[in-house]
Amino acid sequence: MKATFARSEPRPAARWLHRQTLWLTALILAAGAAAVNAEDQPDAKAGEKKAEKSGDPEPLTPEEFFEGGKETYANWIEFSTGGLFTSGNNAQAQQRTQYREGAFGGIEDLHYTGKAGKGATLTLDGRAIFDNDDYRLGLALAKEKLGFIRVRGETFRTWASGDGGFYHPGGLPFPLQPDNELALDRGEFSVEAGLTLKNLPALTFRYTHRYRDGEKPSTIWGTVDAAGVGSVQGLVPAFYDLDETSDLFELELQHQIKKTTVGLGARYETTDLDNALKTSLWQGGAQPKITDRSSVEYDLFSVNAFTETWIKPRLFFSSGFLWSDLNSTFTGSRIYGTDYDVAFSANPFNGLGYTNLVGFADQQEYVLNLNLLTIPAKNLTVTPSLRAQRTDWEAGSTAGQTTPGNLISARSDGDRIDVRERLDIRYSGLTNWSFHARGEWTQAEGNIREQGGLSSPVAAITRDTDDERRFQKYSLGAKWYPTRKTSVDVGGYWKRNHYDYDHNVDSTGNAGGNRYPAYLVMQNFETRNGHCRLTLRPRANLSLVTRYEYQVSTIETRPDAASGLGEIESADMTSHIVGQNVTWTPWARLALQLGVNYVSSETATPAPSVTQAVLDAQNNYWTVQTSGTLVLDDKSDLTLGYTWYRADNFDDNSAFGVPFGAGAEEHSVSATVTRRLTERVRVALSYGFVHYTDETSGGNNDFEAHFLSARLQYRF
Amino acid sequence: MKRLLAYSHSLAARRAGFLPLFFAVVALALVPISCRTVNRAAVVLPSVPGADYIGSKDCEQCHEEIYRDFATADHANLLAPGRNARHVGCESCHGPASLHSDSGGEIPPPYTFRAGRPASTDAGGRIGTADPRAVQTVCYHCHLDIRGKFSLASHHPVPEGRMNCTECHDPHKGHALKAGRAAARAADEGCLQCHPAQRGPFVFPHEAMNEGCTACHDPHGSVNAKMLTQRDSTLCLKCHMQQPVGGRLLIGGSDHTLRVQQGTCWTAGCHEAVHGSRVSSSLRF
Repeated sequence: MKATFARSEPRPAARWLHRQTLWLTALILAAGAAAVNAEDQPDAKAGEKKAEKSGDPEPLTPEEFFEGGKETYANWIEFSTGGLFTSGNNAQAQQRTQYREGAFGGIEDLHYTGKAGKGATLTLDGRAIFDNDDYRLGLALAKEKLGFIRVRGETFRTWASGDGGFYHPGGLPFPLQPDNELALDRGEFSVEAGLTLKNLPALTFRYTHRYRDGEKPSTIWGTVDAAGVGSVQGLVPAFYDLDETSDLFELELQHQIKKTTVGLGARYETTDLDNALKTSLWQGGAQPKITDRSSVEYDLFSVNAFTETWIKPRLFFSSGFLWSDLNSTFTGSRIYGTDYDVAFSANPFNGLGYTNLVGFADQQEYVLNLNLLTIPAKNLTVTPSLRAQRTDWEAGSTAGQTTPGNLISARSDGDRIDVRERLDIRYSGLTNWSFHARGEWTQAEGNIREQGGLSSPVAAITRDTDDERRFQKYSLGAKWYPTRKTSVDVGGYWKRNHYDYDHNVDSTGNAGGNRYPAYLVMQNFETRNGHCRLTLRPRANLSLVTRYEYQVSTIETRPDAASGLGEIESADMTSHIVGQNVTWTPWARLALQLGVNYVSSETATPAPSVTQAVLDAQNNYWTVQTSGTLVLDDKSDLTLGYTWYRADNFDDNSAFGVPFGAGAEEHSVSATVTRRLTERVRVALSYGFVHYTDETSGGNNDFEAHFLSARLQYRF
Repeated sequence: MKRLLAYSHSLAARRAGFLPLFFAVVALALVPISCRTVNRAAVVLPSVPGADYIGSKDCEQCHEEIYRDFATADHANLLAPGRNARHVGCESCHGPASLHSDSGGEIPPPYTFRAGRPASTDAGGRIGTADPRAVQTVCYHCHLDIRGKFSLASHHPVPEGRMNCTECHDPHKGHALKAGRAAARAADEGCLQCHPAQRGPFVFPHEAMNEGCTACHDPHGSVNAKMLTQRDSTLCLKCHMQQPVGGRLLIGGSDHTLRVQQGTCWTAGCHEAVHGSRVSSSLRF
């Protein structure tokens, strides 16, 4: 018997389960629930028909299902409080969970939409979580046939661990001192206003201010003699100290002229970056701190124009043109000291550095696009496209090299023209089938000239290189729907990206000791990919999606013949990606979801045949996500979740090199109870627990975290 | 709290025995719960009781422009004639739309990606609160491998609700429309909006940048820090590996056999300036 979801009708599953309550064990309960489900699943048409016949009330709308009652409210404010409590590596816990350790609270979510006069709509959205530095406010006012104004501000903090590596033989961790808990604030403020008057061009102006301010980790680790035998390894943490702001002004004009939409746009961006990479070195050094500061100011101005024309219902043409001009200046230094951000003081034991860097970099770009979409037959779509891009750039710098004290002078320029063609074909002339094919081709030519740079330990360089790029990619795919409950998706592609380099001038002789740059004469990238997906809905309450992807990529490299070396396959990358999703509603009040992914991925190079310091790279991992939602009663839900992540690539070759592959495991469980107290008020209590272990860090990044949260939502 | 933490630590150590107990408790809890008669159902979007698939063609009546432009989208490859494929197209992501259509648009379709929709049940157990406006839960139905990548140690903050799939991928419009506007003047422009320090041009560029950000980074997620596609020097050796000569690892003619023991190629002072340098042709810094 099919169930209708009419109000107040008792659920057959509930009656059935009620009779079994006393003797059902947990296992039997689950199995029993599955068994009754076939009769208990919502079926729209059947429900509607029965309702019509029996005179029962109308089926519930989706909102009523989601919200638990007939009255639903479009606006709400939700307050929350909670906290993250950790043991172990707090910085790692914060990075993984993106919550600050400790308590937090405030407005989790605010939404209001209402009328603001005839034909006008006001929308307000907000969020303010104190002590987690998470704030957002958006206000929009729109009036039909007139225009709109939107104001939006957002700032939030991201957390990261600043820890470096771990030396396994000595059991030595290298945490960032004095504090390994790094945080970076990101934010954006924007104002957007538009006029949408009837029969007149639509005009939009947008101002956006973006910023990043704070610290984040780097993988450019400093060196240390961990073994104490004079052999240094890069294990000491480094971090970026960022202070970035960007201001964007955008103006867009769009108008419909008969069948053609014509658009004009202008964009101006001014950006100010004051960033520093801060690295600690071998503790035995006289000046073990390096501050590598880079301050860049750039102005980017661009204009663009486009047309879009549906010439006929089956013929579409679009064109676009863009010109951009980038002008930047920069300053910088790389200074060793007893602390960060200190003035330069000479020390013969320091490594290379520089002071008083000044320079410029300018770039112009031209882009032209032409696209045609045609449907020559009912089930055939053909889309040829052409794209051409030309880029010209030049840059120059001067600085004082500190060890030894030489003057650095460098200059470079280059140009590149890039022409891409693309052809898309889609055919759906067979019932329940769809086929598509795509070809992409690129012909690119460029030139780069470089002169100068650091003069020691290798001499400054002079080179003039022409390069030629030939890219091609062919994709094929098919979708097949053999039944209403089954779909099959198969596809694959082959692509090749081939570079040839011709070094007209090269001061770094390719038979000598220092050969870069202007050393390689050919590189060839090839990828073969195949993938398939099977979607099954064997029953109304069960959905299964299975996906498999296989990919092999190779890179072939040939250095200049003067080197005496021949062509080699410098890398071979193989990946198998397997995924499975299951969505099952064994009982009308219980929904279960499962997602599993397994990836086996290896990158092999010839290096391991020479040194154990570099092993073939493994990126294998498992991820599992499960969740279940149980409707406890008319007002309460319980949601449980579990996730698992495992990367088992750790290989302790610390005697030969660093790092050693990612080895980590994480379990997390969560539970949330939601209770609707009234039609307007609901509360939710959540608890989560994370257990994380990290073999690569020798356990120093391990943590456990408890997350508690209580939320109160008021709807209006 | 310390006691709680200590207890949880011991629990974790014994989690092999904890999990069966946990599931048994949950299962037993179902017994009294099952006695209750309720008027609601657990809903897993996009399946919605009372709503049925009507086919994308019906959507054209009110969403003419979106329907027309959808012909340019990659997702249009899903469309096929025949009853078996009736549910694909608009309703693949927005869910069965019969109630939406029958009500003249008053009842939104199951997935409208706007405020006010139900919280996702697809949070997957990550701690924290699920983003009720999350878009990605729909995408994960088919792109399940991407869901796995966003669960990895290093990922863009999509699960945290700071970004969503549509910021980088337009589900409605395809190449012919987007390219016409010349917005994608470079594939990496989207990355540079948030990472302006990598924009360049540099005095000494790294030619690998011609291959784009994805030559070294997986934007969806990686087991390695910084979403790197390889964790160690293999990342560079993919392109810079030359033949081993006499048991030595020669890179650019220079013997790197001992240097690679010190760590990654971008270890401090070696080749830090992986995106390009303003002073060093060897990209030292």
